[in-house]
Amino acid sequence: MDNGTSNSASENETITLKSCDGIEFHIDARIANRYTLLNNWNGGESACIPNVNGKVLEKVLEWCEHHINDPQLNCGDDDSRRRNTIIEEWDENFLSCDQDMLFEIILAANYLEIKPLLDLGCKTVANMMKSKSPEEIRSAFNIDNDYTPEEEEQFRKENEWAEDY
Amino acid sequence: MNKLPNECLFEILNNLETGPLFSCLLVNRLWCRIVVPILWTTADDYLHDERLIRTCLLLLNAEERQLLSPFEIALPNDLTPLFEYAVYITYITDNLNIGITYWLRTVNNFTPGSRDAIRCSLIAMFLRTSKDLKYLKVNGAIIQEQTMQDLCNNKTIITLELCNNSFNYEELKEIIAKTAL
Repeated sequence: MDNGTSNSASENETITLKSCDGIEFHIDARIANRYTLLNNWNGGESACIPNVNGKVLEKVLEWCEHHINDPQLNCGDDDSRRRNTIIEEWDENFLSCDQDMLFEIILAANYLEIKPLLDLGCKTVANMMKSKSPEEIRSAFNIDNDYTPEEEEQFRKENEWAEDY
Repeated sequence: MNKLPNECLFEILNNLETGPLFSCLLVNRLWCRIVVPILWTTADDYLHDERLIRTCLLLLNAEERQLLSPFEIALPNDLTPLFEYAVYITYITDNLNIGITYWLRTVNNFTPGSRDAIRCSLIAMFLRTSKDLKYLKVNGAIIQEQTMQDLCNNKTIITLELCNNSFNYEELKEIIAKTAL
């Protein structure tokens, strides 16, 4: 969808989105345009969003609605390190849900290519890792350690310089 | 967390500072594979730390170690590193000289000669391994002709700064002219 179409939706136009489990949402067409929710939307009155269930889609749409007037960011975003992990209050409250929902939102934002929501979700998870030991991270996110003790020790030694920064 | 694709895990970890990244690297093998490139891209920021120089010295190959033999430097002889870490380094600054000096002091072997030799060996290693070296500052002499050749053959460096060395610039021009063909 090129940018020329993104302003074409009028204020009262609504479209219907259907989640993968068949739940329907009637939304302002401007939201769908702003966040290009429907990459292959043919301009009809309804569209299906596969891979995202109703509970998650509801959250995603809530976020999009709140951020409808955000300026479009430059898409030339590179992969350089992002060290700014400050999150606005509304967004912080919005994402203080349970961990499963947080990961579902990240997955959906990734799938729907809603970059600012993806970044926000990723920052939130990154903040949960700060000042945790490897063992604390594993238990917080239920991750198995598949290192051999020797391997873990060698990685620790080779990268110990990083620990103090 | 286990449901997230690696690209999302990268996005998450790419937000973290160096210290927290160290913890993440030790979580498991998958996290390590994602963290190492993030951590080592900007490793130069920490090259003044003798512990990082120590790891870099483990990455030297036989020829690069050979260059140091006249100086009788006690190189670390741990296991071969688990990653070719230097692949990811993108810039090398004056921090290299500082770190080498600190490291040589920890092994009580500091002389200007040994510092220059280690710098040359490490630069040779960076030139051999790094896939994306963009900026290189060489502060001091380059004593091996091979390193000079590698420099001229390098295709990724955008900015090269040479200072405090006694190059024969006629020779340098000749090498550049030759490699330009």
